[in-house]
Amino acid sequence: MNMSVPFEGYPAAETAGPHALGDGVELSVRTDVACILFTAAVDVHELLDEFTDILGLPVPSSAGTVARLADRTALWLSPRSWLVHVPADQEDDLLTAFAAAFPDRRLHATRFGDALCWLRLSGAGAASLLQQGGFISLEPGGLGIDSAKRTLVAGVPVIVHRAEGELWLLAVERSRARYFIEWLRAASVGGPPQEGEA
Amino acid sequence: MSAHGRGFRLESGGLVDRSKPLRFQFNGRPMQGFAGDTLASALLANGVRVVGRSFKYHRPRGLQGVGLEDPNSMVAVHDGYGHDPAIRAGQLLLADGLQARSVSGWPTSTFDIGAAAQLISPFIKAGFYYKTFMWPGWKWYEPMIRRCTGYGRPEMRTARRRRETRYHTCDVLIVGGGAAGIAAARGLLGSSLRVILADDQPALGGVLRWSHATVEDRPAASWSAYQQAALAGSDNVQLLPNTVVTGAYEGNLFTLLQNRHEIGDAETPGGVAMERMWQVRARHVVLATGSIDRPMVFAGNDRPGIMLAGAVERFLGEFAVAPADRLAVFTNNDAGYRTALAARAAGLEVAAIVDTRNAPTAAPQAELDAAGIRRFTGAGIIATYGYKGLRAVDVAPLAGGRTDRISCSALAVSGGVTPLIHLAAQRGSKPSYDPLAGAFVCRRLPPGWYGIGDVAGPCDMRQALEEGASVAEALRSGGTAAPARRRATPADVSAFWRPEANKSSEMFVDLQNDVTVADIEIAASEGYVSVEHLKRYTTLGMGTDQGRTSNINGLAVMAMLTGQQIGELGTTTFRPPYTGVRMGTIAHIRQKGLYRPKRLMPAHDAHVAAGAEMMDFGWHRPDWYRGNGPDREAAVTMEMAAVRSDVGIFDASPLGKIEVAGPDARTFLNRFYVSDLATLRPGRIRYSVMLKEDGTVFDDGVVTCVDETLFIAGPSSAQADFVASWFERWRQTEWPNLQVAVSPATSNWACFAIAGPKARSLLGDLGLGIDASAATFPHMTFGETTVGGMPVRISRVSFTGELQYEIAVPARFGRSLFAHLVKVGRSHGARSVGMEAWLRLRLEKGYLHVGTDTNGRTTPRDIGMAEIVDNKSTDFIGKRSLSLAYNASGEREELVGLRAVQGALAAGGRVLAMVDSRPPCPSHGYVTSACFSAAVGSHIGLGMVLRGRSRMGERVMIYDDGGLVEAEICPPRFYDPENERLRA
Repeated sequence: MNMSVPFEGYPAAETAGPHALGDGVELSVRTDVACILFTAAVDVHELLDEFTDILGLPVPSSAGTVARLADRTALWLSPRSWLVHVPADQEDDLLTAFAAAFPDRRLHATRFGDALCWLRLSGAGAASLLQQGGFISLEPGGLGIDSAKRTLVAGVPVIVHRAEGELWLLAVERSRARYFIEWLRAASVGGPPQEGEA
Repeated sequence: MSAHGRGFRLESGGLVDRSKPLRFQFNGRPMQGFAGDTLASALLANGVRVVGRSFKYHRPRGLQGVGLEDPNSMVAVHDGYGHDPAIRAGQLLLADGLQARSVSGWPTSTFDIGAAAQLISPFIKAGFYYKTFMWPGWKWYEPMIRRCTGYGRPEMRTARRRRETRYHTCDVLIVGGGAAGIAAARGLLGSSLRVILADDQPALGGVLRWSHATVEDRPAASWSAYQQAALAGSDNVQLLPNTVVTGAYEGNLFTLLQNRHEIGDAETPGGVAMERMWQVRARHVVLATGSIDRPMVFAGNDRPGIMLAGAVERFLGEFAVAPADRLAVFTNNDAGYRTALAARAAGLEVAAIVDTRNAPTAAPQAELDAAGIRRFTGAGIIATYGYKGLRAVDVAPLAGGRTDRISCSALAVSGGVTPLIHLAAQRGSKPSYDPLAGAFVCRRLPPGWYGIGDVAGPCDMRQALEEGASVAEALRSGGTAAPARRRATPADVSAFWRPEANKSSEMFVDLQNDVTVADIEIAASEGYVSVEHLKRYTTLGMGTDQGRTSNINGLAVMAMLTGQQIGELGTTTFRPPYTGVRMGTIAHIRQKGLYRPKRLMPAHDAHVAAGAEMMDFGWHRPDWYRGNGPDREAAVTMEMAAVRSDVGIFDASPLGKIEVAGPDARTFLNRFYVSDLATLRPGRIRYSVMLKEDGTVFDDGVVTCVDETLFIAGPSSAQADFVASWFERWRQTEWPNLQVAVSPATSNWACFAIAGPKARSLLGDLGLGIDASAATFPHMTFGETTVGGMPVRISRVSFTGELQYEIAVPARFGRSLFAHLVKVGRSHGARSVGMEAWLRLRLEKGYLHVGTDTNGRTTPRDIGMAEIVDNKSTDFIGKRSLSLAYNASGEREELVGLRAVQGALAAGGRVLAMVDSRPPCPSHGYVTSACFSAAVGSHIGLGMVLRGRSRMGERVMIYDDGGLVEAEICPPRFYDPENERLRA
């Protein structure tokens, strides 16, 4: 059994891209990112210091915020949950460290690297493309740079992280990733897929 | 004038680009217009008087309005990008190569055989078909009636338009880019507020674009162009031209329809190249939608050539098109005089102005005298002449007296204005009649809304600009300042709803649906006094027109007939969309394979490559494999046989995997499941069901105890997402003090079940290093291992009744694991198994499939779990409801097995109450699942049967699809009832 292929399955590694979409948007699938879902069984303030120490970066504590340090990024999902993406080779070590630090699982680290497919969407038309799928933000100013949120885009739950002005990182549940990519492609050219596509 | 054949294009003026001629066809006739024309103006310029036929009597209809308000000009159109089955000619910008056809009239709109209906018009008044088509029955007439109905010419063509959607938020949405809207937007320039200004025309300004008036000491057209440029260059105002706000919804959500038009040429196609559907959420709304002209009711008011006065002015001013060469004006307000002067200035002969008022308030008498325009005051039009085009009108004093016949080929009518309050009314603002304004207005707007300009009642330019500025100031102040309130001043209009004399059957109220005053009289006399009843009985305001121009006149006539005030009668309900929206635009790219989000399993491609016939079960899953048989039935039989005799490989990845962790994880889960999880030891698995508060079963699955603080709940594939939300909801709302964390991780894992007598040997050969012997790894056991750094979870559970293991690995390895299982499994006689075989295998075993074998009334007692419920001492969701009288009664449908004595069972078959009866007769339940079982040797099924468990051995008759099947009620276990195989 070949266990050396990273992220084999779907979207297939060979479809990782980058792909040029319409309106100058470029899409690629990040195959180098793994992630861990943290959920707290207690009020986060009880364990924030320890959490931060082990994670190695300040844990974001307010809605929509993102913390980045070196190759780790933590996204606030809810008052009791965070998504941390790390290089794929760090996932196991981090899981082990948290399991040791919280044996009673007041803070639970869930292996999540395979649950989400990370997409990188860049270009001046990227924001408009995403806005074809839903309200990326209900704030009049839109989603700020280095802010993140969970929302529906094209009917698919997506974690949207605006990393830079024209750079968006999107985490889509892996089972829905292929549909979402097909949707992005079709939306970027303003038309439905032709017969035989999708 | 009359530069083109029989048409009425003016020699100069207008905003059309005469350097860009455009070719088009109408009803097969080649014609020419200019860039900037609408189809309506181009038709008029080409002398087209009849654009269609009315719905009921097939009377000839010409343009009454100039744009969206026109009830007559529905046409079917091919442009370079697609086909429109029905659109108003005034809504469509002209494009090169455009082909339009009338949607009514056969064989043509000018010669329509259906016009014979006019001969029997006295017999087909309002409500005739409610009374007439009663005998021998409606169905006898229905096909004919249906052929006569409908507006439009649909065609099976794929549009090439680019379609987009946009979701957007803003602080202020300004609807309407006339003087008032511009003033509001201008007042917000440079503020911190993000503003969207939407207008349905290509440029801002409305009437200012072609008006000869001055605004702030500048020519109106120059002023509006200047303001548009200033707004377009700002950072905080976004202009959306060519955009109609079609609907207003809860939470200040608006739908907007924007299009981009190409005029086209020999090289590039012309037409609507792109449509963009916006959904905008706005904190504040400035309604500056203005108003439309109201027609007047008089005998013969439907002839081609009779137009709204505002439409005449716009045709002249914007498109340099005259409706005719000799015009008369009929009015009850000062606007009619303005129209007459504009027409005269354009070179038309103005035959007369007929004013219902005895003394016009501010009519420019000197100008009228200078223009030599004859005036009739205190007079009305009592008759018109001409069939496919107006030839003359008869004018008489309203008080009675001599009749004058005025020769004219067009008549401009101005009955006051109707404010466009639709959006506010869609949000629930009740329109109220303002007698001073002579119109329905929305006095109480939704919170955060402001109405300015004509939408709040007729006003002049100065007032519109002041109101726009005042609202902008209030918005900038953040609510500390309130906009100035308008002073109530009487408008110059004098209501004139209908003449006293003449035949009411010739006075048209609704031109599209041929509703006359006579129809309203019938409705009133038959007791249809409610405005909603009036609409439905007479069809007033129905169809594509939706009563834009007809409703107020209809209401007024009804009020007069019933002795009520107009305000007392009220209006019909306003509903979105304000104008038609193409279904393709709403669908956007959600078509074909993108119709709805689909979920694929980690090994999806491997299944397809293996010949799987995929089906959407919420996830796309193999239904059966082509390699296992020449057809579905043969393949399913082969797959079932493999599981019973060797081993089957089934992709179970979609089964839910929710990690429930924390010090109180066990306590938490025990409150959801019927079974007692307090005794579930680490490394063990337990099956159970979950109930809603009413005690009904909504999901089942297994719970795995990994250790004292970590459990994995395994809901069904269909309910995995919901169960995770269900857990979280209860944690947050009811049990916030429990220390528990909920992590849905279904997608992280690929999971394969191997089932059959050779499952253990196959597992052993996989090289996972697991001791899977019966002693160390018994039924309902869980274990974890790591292979080459890859975490592996193994559960011994069974849905088939055979020895079965479920192997879960991170999703990235799903395809490899499936390939590995197939490869290693070959020497064990393994076959891939699809959903159909899997579900039949569980049926043989009598295992429940929630949703299939249960319904919205099923409790755990009904499915044989009474003992488990009774033995659990602690509380769980739904427990209390199980003791309610109905749930605890013996009169319940209970899950039982059914074995066919003769014939084949089918899901959905009804269990008849009496064995010797035929339907119709009472039912005692139904078959929930059924199949032929080779292992059992007969047709078997599960069913919910009244008092089923006390009726073992009883023969029942089952009715299905016209046939009867005899079956015996039996325990719901057909295969290995002692569970020896799964415990092997």
